[in-house]
Amino acid sequence: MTDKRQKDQFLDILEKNIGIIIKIARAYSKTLHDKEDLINDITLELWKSFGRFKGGSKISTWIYRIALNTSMNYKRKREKDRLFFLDDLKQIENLSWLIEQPDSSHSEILYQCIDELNQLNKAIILLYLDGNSHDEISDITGISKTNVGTRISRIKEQIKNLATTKT
Amino acid sequence: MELTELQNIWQQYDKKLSENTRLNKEILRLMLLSKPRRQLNWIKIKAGFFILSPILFVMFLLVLNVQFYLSTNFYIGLSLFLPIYSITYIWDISYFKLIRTIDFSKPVLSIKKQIAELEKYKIKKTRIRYLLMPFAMIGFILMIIHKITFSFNLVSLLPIVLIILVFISSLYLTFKYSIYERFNKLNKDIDEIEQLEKD
Repeated sequence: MTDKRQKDQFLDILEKNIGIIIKIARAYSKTLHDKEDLINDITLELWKSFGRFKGGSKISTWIYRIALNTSMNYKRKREKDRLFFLDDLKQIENLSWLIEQPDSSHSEILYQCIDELNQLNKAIILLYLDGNSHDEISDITGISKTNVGTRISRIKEQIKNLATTKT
Repeated sequence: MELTELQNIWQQYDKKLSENTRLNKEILRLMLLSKPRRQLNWIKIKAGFFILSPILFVMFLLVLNVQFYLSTNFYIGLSLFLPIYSITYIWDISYFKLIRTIDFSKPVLSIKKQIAELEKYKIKKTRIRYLLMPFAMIGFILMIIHKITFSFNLVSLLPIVLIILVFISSLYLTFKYSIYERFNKLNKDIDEIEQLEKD
């Protein structure tokens, strides 16, 4: 496959699934700057892994796995650790549209509740809210189906209590 | 607030996101069609530095113009220094290779486990490295000292005492506070992951 064709194919997939990346990056970052950085990291990891993706799993499963793994292992970068090339500065400006989307007060509350959960529970509830089945959640996270069910019930209760206190 | 309400909020947010993304498709295309961002990972820079360390070490010796005399001292020193240096170098290479095997397209738990195992590997090696370090240092000193002439006075003893003190305190802090606790936490994390994987 030519480089141009591969990039176009990658772009199509990314365009269709950018929502997943934005939602996960939002849940795993504290500041707007971190969110922007995390979206960048996830996109880069997806691009790096794209050549190896042979369609063994659903596209969304592949994206969820990479986005969650990158987010869980994301460490806030200090300015001195960032190594930019000149071209990148332009790209960062272009990324600003991703962080300008204002959250409604309701979704903000929901994110505040999600933020109180641990890393793994956060992943489970994000997958659940996105409408993934227990089977799919188990496939993405590696947690057994029985444990997924138990965890979801517990997290739902936790979120419900948190939302009540925050509203 | 009820759960159904939360799910409705999420769906509305999702809808809003996809509408916004559609509007910005062209910007996204522009961003990704240009060269992908080459952001170097700090961990890889560090590992890369270790890989190049023998070359840097030789260059350092050349710059300092260190003279070696092929005496008995040199050979004893070399037999202490070289094996330890080679072993730690091989560990660094293996660690670098293990980092490169991490594939983020695997399930979340398997990556968590792999990273915890990697951290454990690093801690184990750090522990052994600390124990071997004094022998490597003695070996190196023997390699560069042609003749041991030592007088027991304050000026010659003070630097040695200071080196030993710094080494012992560093060893104590690393073993007592960081290594032991981190190792236990990692073992606990791995146990938890294995429990979650089981049905």
